[in-house]
Amino acid sequence: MIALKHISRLYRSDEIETTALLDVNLSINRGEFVAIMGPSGCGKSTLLNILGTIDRPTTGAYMFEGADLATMSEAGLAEHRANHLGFIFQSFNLVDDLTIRENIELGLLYRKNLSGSRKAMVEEAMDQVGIAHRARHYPHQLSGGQQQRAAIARAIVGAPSLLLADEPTGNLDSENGHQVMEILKSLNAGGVTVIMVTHSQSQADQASRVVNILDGRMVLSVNRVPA
Amino acid sequence: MGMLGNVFLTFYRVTTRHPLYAALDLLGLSFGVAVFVCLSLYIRFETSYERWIPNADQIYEVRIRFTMPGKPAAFTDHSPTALLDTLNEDYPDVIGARLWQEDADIRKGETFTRERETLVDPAFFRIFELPLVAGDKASLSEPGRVLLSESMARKYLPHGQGVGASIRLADGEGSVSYVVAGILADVPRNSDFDFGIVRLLTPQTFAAHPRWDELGVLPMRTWVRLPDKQAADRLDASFDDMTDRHLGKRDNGEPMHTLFTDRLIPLTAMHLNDPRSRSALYTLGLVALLGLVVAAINHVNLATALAGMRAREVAVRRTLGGTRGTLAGQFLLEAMLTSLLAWIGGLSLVEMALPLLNQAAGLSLSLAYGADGVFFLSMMGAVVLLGLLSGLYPAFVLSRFQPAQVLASSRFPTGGRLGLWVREALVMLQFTVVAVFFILTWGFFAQIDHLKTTDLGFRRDGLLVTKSTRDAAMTPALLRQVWAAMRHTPGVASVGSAETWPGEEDGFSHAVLTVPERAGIKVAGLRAAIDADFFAAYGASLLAGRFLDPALPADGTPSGGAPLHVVLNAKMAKALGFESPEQAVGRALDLYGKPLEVVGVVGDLRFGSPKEEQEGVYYYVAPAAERHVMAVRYEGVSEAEIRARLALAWHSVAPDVPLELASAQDSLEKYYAPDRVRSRLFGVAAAGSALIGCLGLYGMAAFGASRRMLELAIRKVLGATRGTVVRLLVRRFLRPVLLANLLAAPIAYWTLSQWLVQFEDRIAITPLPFIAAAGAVTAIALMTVTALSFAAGSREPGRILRNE
Ligand SMILES: Nc1ncnc2c1ncn2[C@@H]1O[C@H](COP(=O)(O)OP(=O)(O)O)[C@@H](O)[C@H]1O
Ligand SMILES: [Mg+2]
Repeated sequence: MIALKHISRLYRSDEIETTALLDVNLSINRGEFVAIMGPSGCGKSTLLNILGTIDRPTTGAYMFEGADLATMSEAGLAEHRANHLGFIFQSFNLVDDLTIRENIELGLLYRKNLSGSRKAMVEEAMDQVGIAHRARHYPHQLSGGQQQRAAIARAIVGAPSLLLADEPTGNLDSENGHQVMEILKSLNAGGVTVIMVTHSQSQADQASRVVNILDGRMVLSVNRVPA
Repeated sequence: MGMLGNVFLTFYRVTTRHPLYAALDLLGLSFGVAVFVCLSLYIRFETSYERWIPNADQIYEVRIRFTMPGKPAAFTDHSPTALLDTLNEDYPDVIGARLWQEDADIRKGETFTRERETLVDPAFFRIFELPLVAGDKASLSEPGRVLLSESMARKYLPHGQGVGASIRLADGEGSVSYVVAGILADVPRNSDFDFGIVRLLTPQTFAAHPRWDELGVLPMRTWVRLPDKQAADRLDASFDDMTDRHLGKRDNGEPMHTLFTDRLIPLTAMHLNDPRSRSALYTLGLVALLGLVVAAINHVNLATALAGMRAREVAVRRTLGGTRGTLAGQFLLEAMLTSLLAWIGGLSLVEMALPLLNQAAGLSLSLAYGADGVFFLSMMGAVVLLGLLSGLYPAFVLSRFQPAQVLASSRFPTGGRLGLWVREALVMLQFTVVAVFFILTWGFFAQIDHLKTTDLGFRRDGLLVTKSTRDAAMTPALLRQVWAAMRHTPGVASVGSAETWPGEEDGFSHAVLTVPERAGIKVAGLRAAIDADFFAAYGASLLAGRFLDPALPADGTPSGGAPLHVVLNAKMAKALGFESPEQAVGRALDLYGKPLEVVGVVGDLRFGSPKEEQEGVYYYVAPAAERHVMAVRYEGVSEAEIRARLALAWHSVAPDVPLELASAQDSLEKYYAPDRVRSRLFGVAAAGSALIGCLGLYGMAAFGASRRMLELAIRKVLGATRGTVVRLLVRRFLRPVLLANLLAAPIAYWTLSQWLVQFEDRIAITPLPFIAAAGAVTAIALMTVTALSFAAGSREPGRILRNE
């Protein structure tokens, strides 16, 4: 499904040059649940952002189901994100000015062809994460766990084939973190490919593969047999 | 909910979530719209003159263009009676008609009042299709018929009477009773015409005015109606030939049209025929747009600042597949919605402010949405377009955010250093406009005040003038009685008479003088028929020689070819080539072969517009019949008292003639009124822009304070006092304002000197308005920012830090 070849990412700012990623090669198959691990600042978010096409590699090739994303136009990438990807962030990133339902609807706003009725799709996504009773609330009226579940609903409402999660449980207590993990696992079981950045070994243990990164380099990729 | 619905929703939510910024944005734009609409209404009013007349575009006046030696071509505003005959002869297809006006006295109860009466050729109504509310124009051609306007009918006809009633008019044709043939609709405010009493020019009229046939007498206004612009251009182009055909060559052999000829002036262009009036209107138009631009800058700044707060929203939309294009479209649409709301808000402000503005500026502007639909739609179009333009920059800044960076951090980007710099530059631009408006308003009013008090060569205080002595009933014998009665009124110091009065310099006749000893020097100027007391009454200042003396025959009616004694004004003495006033005294002059001798030179008595160059004038004592205007100088009594005494004295000798007295100041008022109106409108725009600028500045300062809340809290925890915090904020926001003052000075200086050029007698530009404007603009900006900074600086640091 995904093939990264010789991906590097350099940041240049005020004379300082940071190499966030260096020569990363990675292939991911449909249906995998990949956990990315590594110390803070090693380049995990950078890798996830490149996978999500909201950041472009400095060098290297990115193939997604046969399409070359490295050379695709801005508009083409936007359409790609709308149709295939779902994002979940550590800091939730819900739009403060919109209600939970409206935030989730945003997930469909930019999609061209919808499989069903908009309303039904939103209801279904909310049911899936158990947030329907909070539909008319604003993000700041919700707990962190509820906000993250709403964010997941927004990510999955358009039925993406790839779900990208950057430390989705980093701001949550263990109970809420557990809930989020359960949702991600069930989504993966339903056929969605999941790539998740995490610091938690116990969460990584639940993934089908763990990718370890150190100072921008991929140091180890371990396939696990799902428990 | 589709894309458009989402835009409306987000707009609504952002507006209600940040009510302060939304209110400042909307209020600023609404004030901008209000300034724009008010000035546009005025411009609209001024440019709509005479458009109420049906087919106004087809109507032209024929005016005479004359070129006096050494002067640029000028136009008379009247024409000879024979012009129409010539037109009818040479262009039988052209519909032409003449119009003549005189004063008529109408008795109402015990008193006579004077009204303007308009006499026209029958064909006039084929040119001016004046709307009637009753009766008909056809029966006007029967003898002894008259048309009255609605308000004239209300004023003079017994209640309930109209067509068929009779009214007695005393004018040059004697006292005649007329039957009302029809009632005309009242002339609207945007008209220079006066159709209160209208009747036909008859053989009796011409018989009563034998001088009309004399050469150089121009009593008429001559109008033609032409099917289209091409026909008008063709006719206009053929006038030079017509002149030469009828009048041949000049003395010097050149064709006559080089001296004078005819030209067409469109009816609709007449009110703004003076290019100075037009450029004054263009300037106000520019000011209207600038007011709107100042407001649009508020929107740019606030929307760009808010863009930082909305970075998360933008980044999320990008990850969900929104393109830069759709996002930019969203923000442009929001800008458009804001400007539409501002349009509504602005019109509401105008509704409230218009009565005040009308009163302050002496106008009668109104919002007529129905009748002026296209005008309102185009104004709305301009507002929305500007709103759209003001959305461009925030849209650009917003769609440029890199989603990856925004989403990873909990901070919001501010739009970077560039955004900050742009916003500061825009604030500077706003306050430059405000400061320039400030200085110009000051300069305009200083000049107008200066004109009101400047030395006009005569003393304006203690001087009353009247044209009532022009009344048709005034025989020379009655005139002399009136003068005597005035002179004997207690409190009157002197009574002078002349052909004209201040405010009507062109009431003097044109004349060309030559100096015999220096052959070839021809000087065009004015000849002023006066009496010997004229100079005393006006308080003129003698520069050399003596005033005219009624006791000396040569000063009035010289016998046997002796020269007529005249007094020159300084301008004429100079134009004739005399190096000093003293040199002119005793010199011989020639007026078309008639000998004159200079006995004195006076300082220029400025009767004309302050914008016209002072003409050279020579004064001579003329027979009573030529001196229709009386000037009365009084001393030691109040104006009200002397008016009462004069009225009494007048009534005792001329009870049938209404007396209308005007102070010299009032009679000059028409020269200052248009500039005063425009300066007041300018002042309104200046105040409006200052208010808008301050709203914007407050918004920017409030935003800056809230963005730096955490920083300020930490500084305070570390021991900063409220004072340091306030200084910190104030310094940031004052810099663009101070720069604006520097930038405004040269712009305002240049503009003001350009404007002042039109006045011969103008104020010197002093540093005072510049300093005052800089002080005032800085002070209001300072107050705005300081008030806010104190609020920000006083906030409890603990609360802020806990909330973060
Ligand atoms: N926009 C940026 N400009 C400069 N350096 C950056 C930027 N984003 C990330 N980096 C640097 O790249 C490296 C990897 O960052 P990141 O991928 O966020 O790490 P992680 O998510 O593993 O903590 C870090 O050294 C970080 O400082
Ligand atoms: Mg990270």
